[in-house]
Amino acid sequence: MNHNLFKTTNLSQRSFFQKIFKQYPQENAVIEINNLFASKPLFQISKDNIASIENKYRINLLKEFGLNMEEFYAVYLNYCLKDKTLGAEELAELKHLKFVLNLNDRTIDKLHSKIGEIVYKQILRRSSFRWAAYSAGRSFFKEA
Amino acid sequence: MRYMPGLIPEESKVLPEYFKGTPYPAPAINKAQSLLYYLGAAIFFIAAIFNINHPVLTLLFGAIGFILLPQGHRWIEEKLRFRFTAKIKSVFGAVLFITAIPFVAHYQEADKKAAYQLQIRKEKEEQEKIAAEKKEQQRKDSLNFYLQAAAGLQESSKFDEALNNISYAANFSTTESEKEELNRSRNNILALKTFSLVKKGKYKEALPQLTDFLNADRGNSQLLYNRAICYSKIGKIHEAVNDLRPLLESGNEEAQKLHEKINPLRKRIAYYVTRCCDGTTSDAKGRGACSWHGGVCNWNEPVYEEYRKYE
Repeated sequence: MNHNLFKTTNLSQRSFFQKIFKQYPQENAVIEINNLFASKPLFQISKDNIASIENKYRINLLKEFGLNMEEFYAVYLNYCLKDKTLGAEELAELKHLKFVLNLNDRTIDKLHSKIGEIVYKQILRRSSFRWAAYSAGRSFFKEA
Repeated sequence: MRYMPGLIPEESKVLPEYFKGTPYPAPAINKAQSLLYYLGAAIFFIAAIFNINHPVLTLLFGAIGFILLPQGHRWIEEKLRFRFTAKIKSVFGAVLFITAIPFVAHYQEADKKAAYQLQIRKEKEEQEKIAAEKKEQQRKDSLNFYLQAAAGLQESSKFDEALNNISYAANFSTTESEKEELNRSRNNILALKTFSLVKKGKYKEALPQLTDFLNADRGNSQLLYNRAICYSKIGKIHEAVNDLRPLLESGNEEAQKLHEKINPLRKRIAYYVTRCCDGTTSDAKGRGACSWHGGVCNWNEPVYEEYRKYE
């Protein structure tokens, strides 16, 4: 999924205390997911990849960094709606993303509603502008 | 919920108001837990303040209180960049607490020792105070004893012995008021001794002493009276009258008697008058004198006036 939506980011260094307590910077789990999205096509990313990262950092990503997981989905949804339509392939990708990130229906509905609202407003604004331009053009030609 | 910011490039960002937060939020704890943490923190902070004289304990208890506070927990995670798990927190807290125990024991012992020393010092001070009070009481008792003895001897006219007792008493006088009282007593005895000389008729011996006393106590009526006696006895009536004058003004009866004795009222002829036979007087000296008053009974009747020799 490399549509320049995500960019690879360097992992954080372990702090002194993290080394002492044998901890990994948990934010690195999110960074690794981000890097996964930035480097691989979406369908090549499996739930196992996510699970292995979770195991590595001993973290439940959805529980700890749920907002980041939602953001990954929201960013991709927003990208899909750039052309104001969702094609079958895009729908399949979103469904896969939902599955990989383990997001529930309620969260998905919420994100669709939030992003959809933004897209709808954009369409509405553009339509109003076109209608105003069309009306102005008609009156101009009438007068001519 | 935690949030890792800055991952999504600016051009791809959506819903910035919704996707925000920090990777180190406050630990998710329920109200009861939170209350317990705050209570624990408060207890340790109070313990830290209570041990403000022992900085190590203040530091240790303060640190335990700090890690118990949710704000302290977040601060540690942010600044030291690690997960301050309940396990680490418990171990860290326990280590701090266990470290504090020998210090508590040490300071308790030190405090106990200090309190004991303070008690001993106080007791010593108290004993010294009691001893000083006792000594002071003994001093006062000695002073009063010699003063009373002097007063008794003075009553029985043993003035030299009384003066000796006053000298002994002087060894026990420390305050100004006591020294003044002793001086008064000494002067009183000396005055009485001098008065006894007057009574014994040793006027010349008594006179300089009385003059000395009067130089110190000018208005003393007894001294003036006795000196007047001395002066009168050695023939210096004028000086005696001078000494008696202030006493006469104040109505001193003894002085009046002495004054009457040494400087009595005397009579002398002031002038003469012509006495008529009806008892009247006439200024005329010729034939018509007392012509309407039964004639002249005495041509030169003297008129007397009273005076004192020493005015």
